Amino acid sequence: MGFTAGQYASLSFMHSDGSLTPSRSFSIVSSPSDQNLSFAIRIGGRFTKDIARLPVGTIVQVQGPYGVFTLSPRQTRPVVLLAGGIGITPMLSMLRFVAQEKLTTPITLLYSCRSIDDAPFYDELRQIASQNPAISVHFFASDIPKDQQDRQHISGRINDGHIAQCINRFSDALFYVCGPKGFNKTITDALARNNVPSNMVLIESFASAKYNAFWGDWSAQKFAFVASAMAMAAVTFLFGAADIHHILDKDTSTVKGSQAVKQSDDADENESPVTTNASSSTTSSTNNSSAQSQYQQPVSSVS
Amino acid sequence: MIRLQQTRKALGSQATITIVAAKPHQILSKLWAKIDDFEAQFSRFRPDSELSQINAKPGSSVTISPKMHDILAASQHMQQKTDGLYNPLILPALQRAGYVGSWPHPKQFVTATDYRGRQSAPRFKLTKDKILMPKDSALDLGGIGKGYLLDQLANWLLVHTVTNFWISLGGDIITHGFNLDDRPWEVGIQSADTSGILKTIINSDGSLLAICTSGTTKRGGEAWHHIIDPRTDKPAKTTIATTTVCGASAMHSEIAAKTLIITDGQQVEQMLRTLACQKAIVQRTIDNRVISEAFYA
Repeated sequence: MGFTAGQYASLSFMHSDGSLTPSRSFSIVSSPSDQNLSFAIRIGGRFTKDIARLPVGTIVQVQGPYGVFTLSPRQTRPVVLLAGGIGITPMLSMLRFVAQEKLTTPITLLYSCRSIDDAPFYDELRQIASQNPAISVHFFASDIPKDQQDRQHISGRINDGHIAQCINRFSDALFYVCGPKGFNKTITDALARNNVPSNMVLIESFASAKYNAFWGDWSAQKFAFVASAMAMAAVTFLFGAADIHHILDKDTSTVKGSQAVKQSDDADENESPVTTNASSSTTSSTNNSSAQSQYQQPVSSVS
Repeated sequence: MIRLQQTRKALGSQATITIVAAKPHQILSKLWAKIDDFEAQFSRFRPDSELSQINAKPGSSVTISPKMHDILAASQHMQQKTDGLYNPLILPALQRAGYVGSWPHPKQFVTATDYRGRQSAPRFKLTKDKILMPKDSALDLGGIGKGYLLDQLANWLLVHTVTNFWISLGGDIITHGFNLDDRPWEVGIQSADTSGILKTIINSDGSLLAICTSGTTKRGGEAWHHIIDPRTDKPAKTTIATTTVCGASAMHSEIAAKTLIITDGQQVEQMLRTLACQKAIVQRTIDNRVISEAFYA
C-alpha cells in the first residue's frame, strides 16, 4: 500500500462466525519507507478490544490510504507538529519517515499528554530527536514537576507563548494539529491569535469512531492480507494490551514510482497545426519526416 | 499494428489522440471531426454554437437537438449527484471572476459573449426536446464538456472495435487497451509545482480508465482560479493546487476533480463513491512549492 506519512486506513476483520466487522479508521504509524504497515490503536470500545485479541494469522482487511493530513517529502518549509494524546499517531509516521530518509526539514514536535509516564512512543520520540539534529521534541504534561522541567519536558499545557516561540523561530512554518476536539480548538485559536494564516495550518480531527462503510461495495479496492504468510508486527496496542503482531504486506500495485517524462509544451510554439508521430510494433520509434515529432507520453495535468 | 499519434489545438487547449490499430489514419480523421463538431455545437466561445443560441434567450423555452439534450441531461444528473456543487448555470459568476475569454494560443485571446450582468441560477428545466432557461442566467458546459466528450469518443472507438488508445483533451485523459507490444498505457500525473511527474498510473488490465486533473494553478502563464463555488458564486476558497481523479468515466472523474477543489478536499472518499471513481490525488502548494500530497484509493 503506497501512502504518504500522516494518512490513515480502515481496518476490518472476520468474526469467528465468518461475518466481517464494520471497518474502523486508524492512523498509519509506520513510515512509508517501511516494509511493514503499522497502526497504533487505543483500546477502548468493542472493536478495539476484539482486534487486540486477534491471533496471529487472522485476515485483516485494509482499505485506503485516506487523508490529506500529510507531510510531503518534497516540502522544505519548517514544520511544527502539535499533538494531543493519541493525535501523535499520524505525526509518528511523519517523524519516522523524516528520520529514515534523513531529510533535513526542520521539525518541532510539541506533544501534550495527560501524563508523562503514559506518553505513547515517548522513548522512540526522544531517540528520533537525539539522532536527528533537525528534529526537536517537547513533551507537555501537568504531572511534570516544575522543578524538573527542561527543554524537552514542560509542566502544563501548550499555550500561546510556546506557539509564539515557534513562530519567532520559524516565520514560514507549516503547523500540523492533531488531537481530541477540544485540543484542536484550543490550539487553532492560539494559532489564529498569533496571526498564523489559516492556509499554513493543517488539522486532523479524531472522531470517536470513523465509520467506513465502503467495503461491501468496493470489492475491487479491498486488500486482504494473510498474516500467517508474514513475519511480524503491524498493529501495536497502547495502554496495557499485549502486543499483537501481524505483518501486512504493502500492496504496490497502485504506485509504480515516478517517471521523468518531459511535459510537452511544444504545441504553443509549433507552427504546424497538427503534429504526428507514427510507430509500429515491428520497428522502434522513428522520426522519419520533418512533420513528425517524438512520441508523447500521456500526462494528466491542469491545462 | 501501427501506433499513430496526433496533437493539435482543440477546445481551447491541446488535444492528443493516440491509437494502436491496423489502419489508424481514417479513425483519427473521424475523431478530429467529432471534436470539431462538439466544439462547434457546445462552445460558448462560438457565437453560432447551439449553446450560444440558448444563452441568447434566457427565460425562454428553446428547442434543442438530441445531442444537446443528452449533454444537458448529463449535466442535470451530475448536478444532482454532487448536491449542486457542479452547476452549469454559474457562467455569469465565472465571467465576473475574470474568466471572460479563452487562451487558445498565447498570442490570441478569444472573448465570449459577456454575461457578467446576469445571475447564476440553481437549475434549468429540461423536456425531451426543450430547455427552459432561467430568466437572466447563462449556461456553460465547460465543467463537464471535456469529460463528456472523452467518454463519447472512447465509446465510439470501442463500438468500432478500436480497443487500444489514449486521448487527452487539455490534460484530461481516457485510456483503453494497450500500447505497442502489449505494454500497458502509463499516465503521468504532473506535480502541482510543475517540477515533473508526481506519480505514474498504469492501466494494467487495459480497461477503460479516465484520469482527470483540475487545479487552481496556471492557465496561459497567468495565475487563474476559475472553479466557482456555486454556494458563494465566487472562486472556491481552497488550499488545494490540483486534484486528479481516476475512474471508468471521464465525465465523472472531471466533475469529481472539480468538486473536490470546491470542498477543499473534504470527504474525498464519499465523493469518489458517489461518482463511482476509484482514486484521487490531492496536491496542496504554498508559493508554488508542494507542501502535501495525499493519495486516495
